[in-house]
Amino acid sequence: MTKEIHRTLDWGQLAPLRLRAKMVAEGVYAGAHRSARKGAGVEFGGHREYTPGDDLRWLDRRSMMLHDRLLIRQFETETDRALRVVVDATASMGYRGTRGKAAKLAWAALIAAALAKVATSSGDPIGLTFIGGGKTARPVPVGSGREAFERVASSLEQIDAVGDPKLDPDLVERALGGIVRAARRGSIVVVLSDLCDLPSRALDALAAVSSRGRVLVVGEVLDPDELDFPFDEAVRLKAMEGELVVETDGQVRERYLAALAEHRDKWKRAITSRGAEVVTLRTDGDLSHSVREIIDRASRVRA
Amino acid sequence: MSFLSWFALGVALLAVVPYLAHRLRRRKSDDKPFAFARLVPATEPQARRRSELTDKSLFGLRALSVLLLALLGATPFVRCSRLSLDRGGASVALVLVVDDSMSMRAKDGGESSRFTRAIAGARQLLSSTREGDAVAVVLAGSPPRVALAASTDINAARSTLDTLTPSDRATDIDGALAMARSLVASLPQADKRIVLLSDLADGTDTPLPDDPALWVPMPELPKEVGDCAVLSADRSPKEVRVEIACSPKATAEGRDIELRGGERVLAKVKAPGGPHASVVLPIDPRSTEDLDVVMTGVDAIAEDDRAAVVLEGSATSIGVVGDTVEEVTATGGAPVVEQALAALRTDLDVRPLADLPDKVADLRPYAGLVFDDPPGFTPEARRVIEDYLARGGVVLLALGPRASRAPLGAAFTPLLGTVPTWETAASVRDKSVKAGEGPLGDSAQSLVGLDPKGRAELADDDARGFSRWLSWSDGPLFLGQRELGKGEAMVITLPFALDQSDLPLRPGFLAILDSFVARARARLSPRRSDAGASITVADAAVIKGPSGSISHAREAGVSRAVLPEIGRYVINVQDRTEVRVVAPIPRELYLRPRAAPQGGHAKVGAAPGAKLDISWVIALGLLLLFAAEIVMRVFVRTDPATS
Repeated sequence: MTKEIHRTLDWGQLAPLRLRAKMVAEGVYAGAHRSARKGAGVEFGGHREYTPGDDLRWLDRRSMMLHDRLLIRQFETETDRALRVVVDATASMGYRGTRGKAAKLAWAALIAAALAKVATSSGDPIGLTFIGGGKTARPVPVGSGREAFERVASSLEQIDAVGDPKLDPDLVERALGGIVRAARRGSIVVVLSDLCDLPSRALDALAAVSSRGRVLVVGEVLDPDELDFPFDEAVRLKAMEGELVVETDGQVRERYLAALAEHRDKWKRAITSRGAEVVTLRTDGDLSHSVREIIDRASRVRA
Repeated sequence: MSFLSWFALGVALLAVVPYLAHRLRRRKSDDKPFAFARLVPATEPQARRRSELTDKSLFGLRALSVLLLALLGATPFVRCSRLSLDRGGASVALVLVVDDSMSMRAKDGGESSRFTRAIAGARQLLSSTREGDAVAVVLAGSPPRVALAASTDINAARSTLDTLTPSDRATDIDGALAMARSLVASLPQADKRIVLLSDLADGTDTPLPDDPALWVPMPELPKEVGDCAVLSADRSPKEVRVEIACSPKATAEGRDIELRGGERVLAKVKAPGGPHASVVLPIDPRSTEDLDVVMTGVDAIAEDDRAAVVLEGSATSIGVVGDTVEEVTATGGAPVVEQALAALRTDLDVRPLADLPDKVADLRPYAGLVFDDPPGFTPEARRVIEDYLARGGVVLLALGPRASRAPLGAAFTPLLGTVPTWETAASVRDKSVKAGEGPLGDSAQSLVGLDPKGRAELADDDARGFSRWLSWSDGPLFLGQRELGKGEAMVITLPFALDQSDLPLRPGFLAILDSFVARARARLSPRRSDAGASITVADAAVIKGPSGSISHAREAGVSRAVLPEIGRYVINVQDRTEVRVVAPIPRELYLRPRAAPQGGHAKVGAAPGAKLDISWVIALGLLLLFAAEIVMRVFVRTDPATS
């Protein structure tokens, strides 16, 4: 009989969350955030390439007939300014290696809180959803102002890494389904996940989020130990999702890194082909830089 | 040991700590979580095995390190079981008396013999000597010998111990101790010690002398054990007569006596009980191979359970040279000496000889010759007798009135230089034999009060050449014996004729003849020797013993060789081959140890449990272990095959 590994989330050096989130947000230049966005409206704002899921009403038929290219017409308009953050709280996000500053979920939670602080400071609404997390997951509907930030921070403080996407393949679709239904054009969706052991249908859910003028940025949260496999001596590794146990040692480092690179590349190609961006977030990195990187990527997608 | 000793040794229990740590570490690694475990390939079993081997080596090193640390902590309080000298600051004169007798072959302490343990003890004692100490080695096997004269070269003493081997000699502890005392007496060291490494079994019951310098450091050696031995195995044409003997605590009952040709059993009988017994085994007269007699079963000393069968050779008779007309008894029949020899029921024939043959080869069938009052020897007879004696013959010469009347040209050489004189009855009437001396023992008592009609008297020079067995009460020789060549001669100053004395009617007469026959039998070729006794051999002799060649050396003008082991020795001199057999010494079977002096096991300030500082050895061992661990770690880190 195998014993399920379940530990309280390791916040490491990141607690307290609220204070840390404010400090990180202060390091991010909030003024760069513009609320004026391109999308459906009355004043023409330019063209962009068609992506599946775009509203066919804005397809530039003339351009299609003249240049044989599918272009979408864009207009300056007041759009949905909401920021929706999706945090992966499955069991694998509870991992913390020897060099990470905290568990991956804690790292993702702090980034989410910092994004929330940046958004609320700019007057933008903020919403929070979890993939997994079990009973500790308490999604926060989109709201504005300081109260919204407090609710988001409170929800993130209580989150724990629970859930196995292999046992519950609909976990991702349930989390993102609401966003697909509620988020309007121009809204920004940030998914913070390690993309570990997610089912292939999770790609379809992410593709749906990135359609219809929504901006999707995926933050790939990884621990340094996962990136360079520091084990030298014999060790027994147990998967955090499922019952898999592997006896191994430092001899397999190269093979593991190759497999990891292939795994990451597969996900990255699948996400970017749908117009979204992927940002790698190391748990031993700089938080402010990570938040700024997410904001920059979101701006780039919108542009 | 004190509490501190136990406490320090208790630290050794911490040797299990590395193992527990190892177990804890391994259990922890069993449950190590890893999010991307699905992407991690499993390693080859070979790599895991190598990892485990490395772990075990390190564990072994660390556990050993902890043990050594505990020992190092306890060293000042621990008494080592090694033999060592408990000494002060002064130099020591040490004599190691090592017993190399047969009884030291006993294996009563497991696989190793007493001799091996004694040598090990001597080595341990040598390791506690220092510069300036003098060491000598004396061997207590009979005869005692100096293996190493006193020397300050300890390495020479060690080399001497390496060359020592056990033998089948008898034990002479007193002689060896006297030799040891004389060795240390002249040495300048004030602290003189004699260490006796022996089982103290030398056939006597008297306690060891209470010498303050004497130390018997191995009390486990003197222990009475049981042993039986085959003393002799003599072959006559149709049978082999075997003599066996046992120590007081042993019996041969239940064991078999086997006659073997090689490893083939030719005959077998049950061994009788009792301390001394003889059995007879039948044999095919045509058999010509070398035979051995083996006593089956196991006892303390295995080496003496086998004896080479001695072939008695062609000498099967006793020749009696005398005047059959004058010496015939009044009732008729053979002369009285012939009848007496026959009455002894020996397996030797008694043959009367009217005259000596002219060639010594014709005397080959005779183990002994009895001359009863001969009127001297002719020159031819003298030459034959001389050759006969040189080849090992035994002669009994009875002198009477006819001997004193030897004709011109007749003499008694080589037995006597001068013709004896004959005293008449008037002068000897009150001079009977004085008993109580000589090898005849109590039998000589029956010769007291002899009533001879006269007696022969030897010249003084002749009388001095004989070993005196019996004397007349006024001093002259009555019965004597002397060695001549390889043989020997006995002379008695009365004839065997009944009309001259009542000697033949006395029991002592039979005792004299019995002694003569025993000596004649003992001189039969091949001859039997005691272990350790030296024999005279020709310069060109080549000797081969049970353990290989035996060397001989010239000593006082003759070549002598020592035969130290039981068994068959073949002596080749040009085209002649002689066989000698070395038999066990019955005295050596008496394995009861002599009593050591009171406190003799721990005198002269030395004890088997003396403190021995071995801290530096342990510290060195610790350093080596640490170095080994460092090397192992570097090796494991740098070798890509093991990383």
